[in-house]
Amino acid sequence: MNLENFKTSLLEMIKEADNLPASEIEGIPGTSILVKKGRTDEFTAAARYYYELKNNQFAAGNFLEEVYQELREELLNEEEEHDISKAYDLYTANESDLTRLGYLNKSLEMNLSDQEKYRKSINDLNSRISDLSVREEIVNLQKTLESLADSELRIKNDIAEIKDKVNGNVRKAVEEEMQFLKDCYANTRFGTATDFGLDGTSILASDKEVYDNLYILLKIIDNVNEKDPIVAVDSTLCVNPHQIDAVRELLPKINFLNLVYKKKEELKDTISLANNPNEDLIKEVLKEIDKLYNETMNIARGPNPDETLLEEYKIQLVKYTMISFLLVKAAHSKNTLTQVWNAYVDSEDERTFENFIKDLPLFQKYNPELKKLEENQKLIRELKEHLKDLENKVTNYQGLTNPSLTKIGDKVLLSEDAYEYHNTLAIIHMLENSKERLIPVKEGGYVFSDYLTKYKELIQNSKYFNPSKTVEEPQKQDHIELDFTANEEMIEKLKAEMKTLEIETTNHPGEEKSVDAPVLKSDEVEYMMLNSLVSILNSAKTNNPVKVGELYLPDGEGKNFATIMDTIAKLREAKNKSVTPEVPVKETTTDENSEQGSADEELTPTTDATTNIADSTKVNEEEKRSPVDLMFNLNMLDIIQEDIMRLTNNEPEKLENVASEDLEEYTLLVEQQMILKSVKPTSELIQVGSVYVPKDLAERYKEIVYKLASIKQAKEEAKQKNNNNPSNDHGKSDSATDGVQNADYEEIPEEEQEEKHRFKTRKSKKRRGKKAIKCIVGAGLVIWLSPALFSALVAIGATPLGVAAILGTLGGAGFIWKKFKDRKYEDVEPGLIRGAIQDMIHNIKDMRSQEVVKEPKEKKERIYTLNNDFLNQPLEYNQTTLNKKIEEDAKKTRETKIMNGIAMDQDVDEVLVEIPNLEEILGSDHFTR
Amino acid sequence: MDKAKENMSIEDIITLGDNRELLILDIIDYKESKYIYCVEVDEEENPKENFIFLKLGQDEDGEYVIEVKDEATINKILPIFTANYLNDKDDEEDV
Repeated sequence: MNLENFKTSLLEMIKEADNLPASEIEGIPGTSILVKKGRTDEFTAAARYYYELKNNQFAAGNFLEEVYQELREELLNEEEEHDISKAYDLYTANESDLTRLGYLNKSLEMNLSDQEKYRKSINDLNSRISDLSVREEIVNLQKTLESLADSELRIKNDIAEIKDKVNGNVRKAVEEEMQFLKDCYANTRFGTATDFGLDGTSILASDKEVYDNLYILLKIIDNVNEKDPIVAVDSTLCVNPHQIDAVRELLPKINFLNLVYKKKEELKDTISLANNPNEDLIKEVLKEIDKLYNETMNIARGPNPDETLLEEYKIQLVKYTMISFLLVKAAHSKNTLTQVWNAYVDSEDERTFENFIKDLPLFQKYNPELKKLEENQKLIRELKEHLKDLENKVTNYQGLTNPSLTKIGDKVLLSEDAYEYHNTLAIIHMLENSKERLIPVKEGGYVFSDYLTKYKELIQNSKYFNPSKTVEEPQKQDHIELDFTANEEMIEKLKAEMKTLEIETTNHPGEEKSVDAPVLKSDEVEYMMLNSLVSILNSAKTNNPVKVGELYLPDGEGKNFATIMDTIAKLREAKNKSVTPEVPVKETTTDENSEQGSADEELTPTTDATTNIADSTKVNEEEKRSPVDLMFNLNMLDIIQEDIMRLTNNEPEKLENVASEDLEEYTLLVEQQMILKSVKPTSELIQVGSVYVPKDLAERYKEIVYKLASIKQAKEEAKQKNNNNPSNDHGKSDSATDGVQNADYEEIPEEEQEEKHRFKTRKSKKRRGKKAIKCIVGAGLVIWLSPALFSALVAIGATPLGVAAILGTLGGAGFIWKKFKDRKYEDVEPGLIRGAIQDMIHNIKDMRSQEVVKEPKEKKERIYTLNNDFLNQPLEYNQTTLNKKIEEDAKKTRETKIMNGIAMDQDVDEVLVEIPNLEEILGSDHFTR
Repeated sequence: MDKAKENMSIEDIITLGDNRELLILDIIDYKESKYIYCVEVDEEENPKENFIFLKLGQDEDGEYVIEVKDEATINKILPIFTANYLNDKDDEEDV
């Protein structure tokens, strides 16, 4: 027999004695050793041989006790190893689900509290149900309640699914354990004390308590009710609240489960388990980044890159990158996590995150508003059909002769349909821009909560939504007496001007005369133009008049009128004549057709609105503004807010997010916003362009608008210039991103890649010192290290500091990047850079490791069981040992290890991260498989 | 190659044939080749934002460098430069 045989035999005898009643065992004289009666000599002999073989010396003294204690300890360790391994398996299997359960329960709690709140509101409103608007409100609230109830059901289903999965894993482990105990009975020798478990199974008497506890736990698991709340008990299993106490009493009695919850932290620290509620989503995002990155590169390197698509992809890459960082950040956050669609993010990132994901294709399937958006799309299609019907009415018009026609954009419509057309366009516009916080509207559609009031107004005035109702059309103004006095006065004035020109002919008999007009040839153009103005003013009475300042002009002629006026002024200036008195030129709307104007304004791009405003003059100062008029202000405020969001990366209060080159624009926008917000219905207002502002701020408002228009123009020009000259500064750019962009997007010919550069070296004139060099190295590595970040930096091309600012919100890397961009090396400590790099590697590792798990079978099948001498040490000791080992190891075999990492085609980052691969660093001695 | 080792050290300036000047940030050996991590500098030797990896070589005309641009190689050498950076404990004292 060899050493191992003696050891096995001794261990069996010890275990046997443990399972025998006192009457069946006897002590070996002079020791504390107990064995089955009649086996003392056998034990003594086996112990002697074992001792001598093991120690290579004769057994003497207290060798029996020494052998017994050693083997007794090994038995205990064996059990503990078994328990630790089981606990580890269970912990890894359930950890992420249990974490998710926590978030789901939080969501459920909020959902139920919201439902309660809405129910209460409905009850309150019920007392005023006779009021139409209240009834509508109640219907809306009921719809919201329905949607919350749907969501509640989904959450509960998810919770039930998690419960089944987690408890299924626990059940499996418990059943295995019970089977193990049954096997112990089956393998026992005759004479061993036995008993019956609660289920009547024969087991060893010594296992009865454990077996029964396992059995009771199974029964508890069977009785978890899905109708009651389900909670995680001590990160172990899912139960109903009333079962918690019973489970807590049982767990400490079941070794491996006790370990799961009692040693959760130790296990976590020792085994470095992932604990990220966004685990699956991160994998998806990473996959998308890779896919998008490849597609972007393919396009960029292709013969005729589609610049628009490229730009779109780059923006998406930046968004996905930021999303992945926010998702990883959430796992380490100390703040409350908030659920946004299917993700959990730091509550402070909620808005930013939502803005990133809302337009991205990958996330659309998770959009809880998807169904609503689909319904909106359907409605938009129907509304567009309605528009076509209105357009077609002109061609199909065979009723009255001389139908009154009007032009909206390039469409010719019956004048009577103009209002409906504008109104429908405005409704479509709102629906198309409603992508979040959607509120159901009874008549149709889901709109962004901020639009609700305006949307309802439009709906009320829509023939489409109220086919049977006679909609009060502001356009039907035939019965309203319009005052054309100003027109007549203007016509008189113009005619007087024409007369003057005619008289000039007689004053200058020698000069060439016009053939087409009774004036000198030199005045011919001016005369014709004055005549055109008269014609336009005259035709206003019969041609859908629109009020422009004090005048009425035919609808759509405002711009023409203004151009003619302007030309006349220029002609006169050239001739040193007096300039025609300023005449209002910007089309504004009267109260009678203001809705039409509002619809127009909804569709007016910011630039047009702002540039044109500058031409306007004050009108209607005394007029009272109706709420509809002030809607223009609200529309403009929306537009301004969008611009501010763009400049601040969706964090309008954060001035630090604004790139330095955008600061002026940002400040002007905020001021413009403040002026518009200062408007009160009672204020003394003046119209500037399409909005109303306080009279005393009008000049400043115009100035702001002028400045904004010129900033936008300058930016457009710069962009144009850049587009025309994309690659002439490779390697010489002032912007790192340009460098990155060129390096990666330019197709580099093979021969150029291999170009040999002869070189000279010299000592630097500067004496930087190691610290400065380290800073530069670190900053460079920050740029290079993460492919995701790299992609993001590529996309910085357009607004470098803007994206740097986004990065800045995400931690050290962004901070360093920005400092580096500003060349403020002195602000950056090498330690800080190191931290940022480690964080970044950690994140990459964290994210990538979750992908790696899929593939390597070998890794997956490994079950590491840590040896006791390592596990039994206090954690701090283990950590110190690890760190020491890491340091020594890094010094000795750093590069070799890295090479191995590469050679094994593993993720090279993995080798670098200071989350040690225990086996590799400590050596295989510490592991058994 | 040994000559290069002797003549080249961190913080030196390399001037390429096209007159670009590069500040040497780190040098490593990988698969029997020498790789240099540098940053382009301006006339006053202030770093620009172009970080470049060079591979040192030698032929009958003497030493030369090739700019490493392919991602695969960069992905191999970058971790080594990073490891150097992270594991260089000396700079702790510098901080």
